[in-house]
Amino acid sequence: MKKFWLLILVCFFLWPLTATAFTVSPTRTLLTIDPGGQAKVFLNLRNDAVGVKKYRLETISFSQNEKGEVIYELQASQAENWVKTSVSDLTLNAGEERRIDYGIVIPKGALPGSYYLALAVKELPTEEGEVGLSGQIVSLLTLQVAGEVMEKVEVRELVSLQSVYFSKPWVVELNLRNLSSVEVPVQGKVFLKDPLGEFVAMEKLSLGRDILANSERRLQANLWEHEKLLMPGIYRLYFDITYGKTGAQIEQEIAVWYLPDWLLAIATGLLILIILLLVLKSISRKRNV
Amino acid sequence: MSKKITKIFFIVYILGIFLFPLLVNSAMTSTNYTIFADTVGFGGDLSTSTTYFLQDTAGDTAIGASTSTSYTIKAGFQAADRGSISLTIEDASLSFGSMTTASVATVSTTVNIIAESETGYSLSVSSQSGTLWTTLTGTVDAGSEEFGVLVSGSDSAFAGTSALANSLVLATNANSLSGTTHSTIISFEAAISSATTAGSYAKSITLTAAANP
Repeated sequence: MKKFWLLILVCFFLWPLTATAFTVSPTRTLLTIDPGGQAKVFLNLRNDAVGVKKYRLETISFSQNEKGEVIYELQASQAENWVKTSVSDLTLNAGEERRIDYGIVIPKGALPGSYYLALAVKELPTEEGEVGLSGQIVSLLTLQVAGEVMEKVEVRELVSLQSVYFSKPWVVELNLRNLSSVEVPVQGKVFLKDPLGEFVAMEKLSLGRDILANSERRLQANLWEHEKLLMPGIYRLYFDITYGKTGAQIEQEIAVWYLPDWLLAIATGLLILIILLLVLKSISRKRNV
Repeated sequence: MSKKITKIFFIVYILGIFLFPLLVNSAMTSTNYTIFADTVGFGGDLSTSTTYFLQDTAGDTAIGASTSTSYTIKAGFQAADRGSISLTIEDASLSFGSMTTASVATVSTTVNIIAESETGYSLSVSSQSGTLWTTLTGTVDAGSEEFGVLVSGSDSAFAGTSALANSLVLATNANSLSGTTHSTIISFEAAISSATTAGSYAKSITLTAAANP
């Protein structure tokens, strides 16, 4: 029994040695600085593992893909060189916390707009397996260089996946491109006008979080899943997209055909009826002859 | 004669159903637009220059419409999300052991994220290197030289097996989070073929946790 408890005790202390556990704060920082200006930021790092751990600090760039997911890239932007820290590698004991200061110097010729950086802390692996996992936490740093910036978002694609729908939902693909030098929040609504020209429904579009500067956002919206649409014909969809700090708007419309099930049933019935009439007429002609 | 009238009626009726909406919507009207200048987020002053490019599209595709406005960013503003992100990888060193062509080898670990973040978090693969192959066709099959990753948990970013690639998001949560633990089980599957050269293979993978921007 003693051996059993000893084994449990040994396992308890050995298990965390292979574990990665650390904490970084803050999670995001936004700074606005003049060209040629300076600023300071910091992050706190805490080793939550049981043993001593080594960490590497790097400043990397981040961007956004069409889904709004973040992509990290080293040496992707000149702005990485604007942020300096005196530490590159450091070792922390179990439970130890350290504040790391960063100095920021913006070049005089830097253009106004947002620059997206990630203050990365990577735990260096202590042992290697066939699959060795390293943990990294990044604190996002958005540097906005002061000056006049333009907000401009373009609808690159707004298309219904089908031109004729026999059922719901109607699937629409939307592709927005942020041509601004700053990130923009986006919100959208779509209004539905029936074949008689009446607005009959409205849905909010889920466009995701801010679109970063010079990034695209592509998404599919499933519309009118819960709307009762009885009338057949051409429906018009009016998209109203609001973006940016200025609340600028884009309005776009598309048109789709809607032929509901009941119409198809009636049309099929009529077709069968006409064929029957023609057949009967043909038979009666033959009999008369 | 009456049969002819019935036929004509049917044809006119069917055509009417389809063509009536076209006639109703053949004319479009212009729309007035408004700039909302009464709400401003942090870090900017509004200016008045505005340009519009509007389209009135009647087809099923609308491309290229855009508007632009400008404002001035003033220096001296600082905002920080004072929250934190904790990352725990329960087992950071995984071994498939000795592999055969008859089976698929699987290893797993649990990654815990504790985030205090208004924008949620994402866990992704930020880099990978090593000699272990990365090819994947559909799923990892015994007898084929393949490698794939699977995730399970409430924040899993995909279902099924995915090829391991840089920027692959493994788990994400877009809600405002206040320090609860979010666990994701990450499994790696590997298989060898009869052509695989005997030896040791390894792969180093960096998992990056961050708040959503």
